Amino acid sequence: MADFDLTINGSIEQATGVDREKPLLWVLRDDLKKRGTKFGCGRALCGACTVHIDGQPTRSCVMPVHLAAGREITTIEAIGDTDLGERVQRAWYNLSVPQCGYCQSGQIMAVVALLTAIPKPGDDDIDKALSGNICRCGMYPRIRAAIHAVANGEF
Amino acid sequence: MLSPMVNSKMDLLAQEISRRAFIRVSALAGGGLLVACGGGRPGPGSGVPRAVSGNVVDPPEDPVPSADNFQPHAYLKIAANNVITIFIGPAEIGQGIITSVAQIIADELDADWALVGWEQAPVDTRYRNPIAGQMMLTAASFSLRGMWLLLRYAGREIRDLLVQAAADDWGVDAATLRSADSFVIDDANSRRISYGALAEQIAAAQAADVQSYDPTAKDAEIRSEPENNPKLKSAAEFSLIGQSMKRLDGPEKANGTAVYGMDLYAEDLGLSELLVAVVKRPARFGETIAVTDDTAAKAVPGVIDVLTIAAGVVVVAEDYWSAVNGRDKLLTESSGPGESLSSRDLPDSYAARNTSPGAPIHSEGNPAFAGVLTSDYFFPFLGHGMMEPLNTVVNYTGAAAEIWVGSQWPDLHEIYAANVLGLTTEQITFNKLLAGGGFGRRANLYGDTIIEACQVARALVPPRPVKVIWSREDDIKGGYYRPASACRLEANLEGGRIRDWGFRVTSTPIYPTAVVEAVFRGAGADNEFTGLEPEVQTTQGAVELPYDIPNQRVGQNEAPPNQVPLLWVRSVANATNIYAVENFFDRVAKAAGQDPLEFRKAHLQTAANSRHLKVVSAVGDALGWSGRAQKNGNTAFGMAVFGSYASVLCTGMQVTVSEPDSKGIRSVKIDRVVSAVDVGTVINPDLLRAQIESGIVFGLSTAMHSQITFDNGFVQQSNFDDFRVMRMFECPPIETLLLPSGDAPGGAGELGVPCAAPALANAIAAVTGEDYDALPLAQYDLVFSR
Repeated sequence: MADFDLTINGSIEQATGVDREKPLLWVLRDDLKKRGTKFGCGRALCGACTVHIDGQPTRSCVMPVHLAAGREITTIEAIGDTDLGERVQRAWYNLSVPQCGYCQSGQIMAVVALLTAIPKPGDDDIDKALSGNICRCGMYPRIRAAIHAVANGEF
Repeated sequence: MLSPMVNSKMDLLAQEISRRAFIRVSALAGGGLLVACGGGRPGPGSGVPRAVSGNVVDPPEDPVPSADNFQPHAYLKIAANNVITIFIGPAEIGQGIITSVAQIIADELDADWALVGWEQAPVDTRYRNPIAGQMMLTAASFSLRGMWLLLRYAGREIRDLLVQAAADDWGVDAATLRSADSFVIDDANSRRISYGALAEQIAAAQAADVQSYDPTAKDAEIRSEPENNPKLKSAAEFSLIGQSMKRLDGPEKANGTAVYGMDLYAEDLGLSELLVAVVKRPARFGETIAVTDDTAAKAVPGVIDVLTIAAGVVVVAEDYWSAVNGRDKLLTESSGPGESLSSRDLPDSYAARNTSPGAPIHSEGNPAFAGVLTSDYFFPFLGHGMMEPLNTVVNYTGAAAEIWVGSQWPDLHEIYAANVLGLTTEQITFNKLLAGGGFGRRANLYGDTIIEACQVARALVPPRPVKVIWSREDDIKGGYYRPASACRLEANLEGGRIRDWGFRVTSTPIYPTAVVEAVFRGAGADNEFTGLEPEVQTTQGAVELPYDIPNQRVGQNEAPPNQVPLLWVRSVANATNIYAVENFFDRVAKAAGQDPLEFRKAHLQTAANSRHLKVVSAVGDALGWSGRAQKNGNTAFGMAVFGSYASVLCTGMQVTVSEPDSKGIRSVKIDRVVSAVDVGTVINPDLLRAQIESGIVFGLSTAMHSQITFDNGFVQQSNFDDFRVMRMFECPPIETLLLPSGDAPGGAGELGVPCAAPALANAIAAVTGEDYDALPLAQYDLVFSR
């Protein structure tokens, strides 16, 4: 058990008395009550738990908290504070991307990371960046369309 | 912060609010998670109105300030500030029912859509669906089919009362007034009054009706005595029905603040603590599990206790991570008469059953089957794999309980909870929540998850609030699968047309009749509920064959018994039976030397199947198949057509299939998917398209990959690596043509599923010439891409 200072969305947050191997996902959710980051599979297979670590999309369900300490963690709670994040969320809303909505935090975090790295991604770029994020409601065509719409400045 | 548009509406309203009501603004701090409802208790999943500006809509950041609310109808309340809140009875599992229900009521009510919000309805007889066994069952695409008229009459009735109240106040004839945007308007005297200003007075007059509202009686009344009810709008008068309004649950689902059961913590529920429990279930179905040593599990920091309940061994902990770590260290033994089936044996044993014609379920003409075309099909068990793992929160105090769960059948599940906890349903407050996908798993007639969670709560001494969470592995291995099944199709041709058609299915009914009857009677819904008969569960899709074939026979065989817990999966037996029917139809067309599109049209020439012909023709035209060969080199078209839930759909595809590589593997690229749908009246075109897209992806997942298999009774899949579902790189562009007929709305939630797999297989077969007798298609050395 240890205490960790985590830099989350620009603020230092303390996780106290946690197992150093506890996944960042469960520290975010159960300890810090940041519940926008979702539990889907626990094995980095579905992408629902995607956050940014130093800007890189990362599956928080398999990242031990001690490896996240001292790095910049960004979650769905703050991604809308960035211009790009806000545009992606507006596209998500306007193009009715979510159905059940449970996977969408992870989808949006993956998409913001993609558009940061590749502002005008092609379909192959989208396949590479998003194929780790499952949407069981099957909104893949809308996710793809929304990515293009943001890249084209429609949002 | 309120958007400027809402603020300006509020300013307007401030001048309009009448002498009767005053606004008590109690600004909700922070917005986001906690939206007050019902006595200030946190009500996860409440909605807030949205502001509209041009084509792009700003999701609101904060709720509109609350005000006095007046409830003139079970389905809605009106606040003094003119915010109208719709109570949503059906479960929102992603299908968009919140928005559809609100649109229908708001249209007849002439409500200002920008000030319409929603709340989860309480679990109460007032929110039953008359066609869903008179229960709050969200399944079988029941919701709009059963609620359409009730919702419209509710909106119109309240609108008429509001207009009459204004007429009384003003001393004018109600017929001289009109209503729009939540105002009653007196054009002759250039005045208007908001619904919010009139709400208190009509709500007081309606109070008794609000409490005693009986949707089943109301449904019967409006059908038998429409003249005694308000006059509904004509389709031409609709202002919201038929429009692509944005989802009311869209804002919170686009910014991560939507609250699912998984997201509830003690502080959200006004509790001092909320423990987390996970259950270690027996290794094989039919076995029981016992602890042999829990020392190491109990030594895991955060683990509070290890308990045994009927379902298995429970590890109770302070949080999820501690609970699963404790479970990993449990030493247990499973014993007893466990299931020992192996999936590799099933195709042969099921096909053997289909050598018998089976119990006759449906017959037309006098089918003769000498010298027939025959094909045998096999379909594996299938899991649901909703994104939000199963979870249930129970706060049991000994004398009462409150439960929070994303249930598709909350009134039934409340009864199960009462039984397990030794309480009456009146002693239970049952909160239904947004669900992260359902696909039928959260509509279990056996109530397994709710029973288990209540057993855990009851086993905790003294009682403490607890959330039972299923891991993904628990979900995939946990049973309640679509049953495995096999179909034998037979046909005879005569003069280039199908003369005889035979369909046999070997499967297992999900629910025995006695169980269904006991459940519905026990729930106080002792009506003649049709739709769950064993033969419907197994032969659905085959009985309603749309084609003009004079001689038909459908027979049913019992599968060899096993102990696998079964449940419906989105579109139930339609998914498998339509694959067999529509794939076999193409084989018969091939045997007849005819193009499958033209062959379908030729067998869809009567009035009874005119909707089928319409969608088939539309897809043929849209694909560019009409008038052209099905196959061109390595590219080909395929299609399938299907009607159910009072709706009809055809899905067609164009695929390009490679030659086998050195390992014999072909690459299948899905170039296009085009569907044409007739759902009667379209409530929301964009959400309808989304539902069809969703169904097609669900169907393609099962076409390509998804299955549950057994080896000596052990489930061989565990997570999304081996329970494969479609991913982005495999997902083709999907187009949906809407061809509404103007009839009452049909279902759409399951409609897209059944045709996807046969359309894909038929297109691939047109290139390869191979037979695809079983799903998933990955077993035929096919890999898929968009």
